Amino acid sequence: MASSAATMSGKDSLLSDEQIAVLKNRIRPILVQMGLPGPVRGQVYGHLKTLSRPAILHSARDLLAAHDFRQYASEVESFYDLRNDIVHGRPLEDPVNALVRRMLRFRRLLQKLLFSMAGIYGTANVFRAPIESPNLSAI
Amino acid sequence: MDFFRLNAFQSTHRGRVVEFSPIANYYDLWRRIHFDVTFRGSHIVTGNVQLYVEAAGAQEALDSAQKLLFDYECLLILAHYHHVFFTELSCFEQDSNQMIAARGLGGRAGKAGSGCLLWAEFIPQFLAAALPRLDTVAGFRSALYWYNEVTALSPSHVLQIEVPSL
Repeated sequence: MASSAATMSGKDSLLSDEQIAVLKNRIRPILVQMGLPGPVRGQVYGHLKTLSRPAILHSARDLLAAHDFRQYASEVESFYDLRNDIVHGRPLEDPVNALVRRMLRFRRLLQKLLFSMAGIYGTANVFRAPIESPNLSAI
Repeated sequence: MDFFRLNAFQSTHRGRVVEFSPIANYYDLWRRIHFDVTFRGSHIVTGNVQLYVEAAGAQEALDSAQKLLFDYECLLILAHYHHVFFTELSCFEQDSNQMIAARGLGGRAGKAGSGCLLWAEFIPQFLAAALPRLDTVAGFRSALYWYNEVTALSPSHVLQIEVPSL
């Protein structure tokens, strides 16, 4: 079910378009009975597509996109997977070196984001460390 | 704080002017921190900060200054990639050399780890750009707090401990 949903309603959604249509038809009478106007009902239907998205990952992707760092989304997903493995007590398959490298790359991405939020990312000659290098492993 | 090729400078935050200045023998100290094996990368006081606040009493003035300087501390930690902290706050009456109150502050001690992420001469520019954004860019302040806390546990740094300053 999840795999078919991934091809139809977006990578993070667990519901397929057909399932969303069924759900929409079932809740419509309830929303009408509650007296909600059309635009509000429309918002509720819109949220059905995003209900099953992982909130942290979704927010992180939005943040990256807002600062033109879309290309690093896979780094966040990789770190998110590592976070889940740790939180849920799953064995870590990667060797320690790979885990540390992943963490260092994620840290560099956070530095990029914070300097972008601070408003100086992209200012010439300001950085002593290779913050602006597209290579997150650059030292 | 790194004052390399950076003389005294002023920064404005929430309508208050904050003056940063390196200590008198800064470059002697700089050589020690960078080339003396014993002191290499150590946390050593490198400068002074002066600001004027209006308050009904000394403790209120110290509270007000401490709150304002905390924002600087958070941004300087990001810029330097190690803990930059104020060791002591001293309160003077306006136009007087008589100290009326003092407060010791704390910070993480230990080796500073790798160097400043910014060239020190751009720190005033960084502060000017970032300070207003602490309150206007959604999530910036909280992200900065979290990032700074996590970097204290970074594997590239040697073990650090928290001690109160004298």
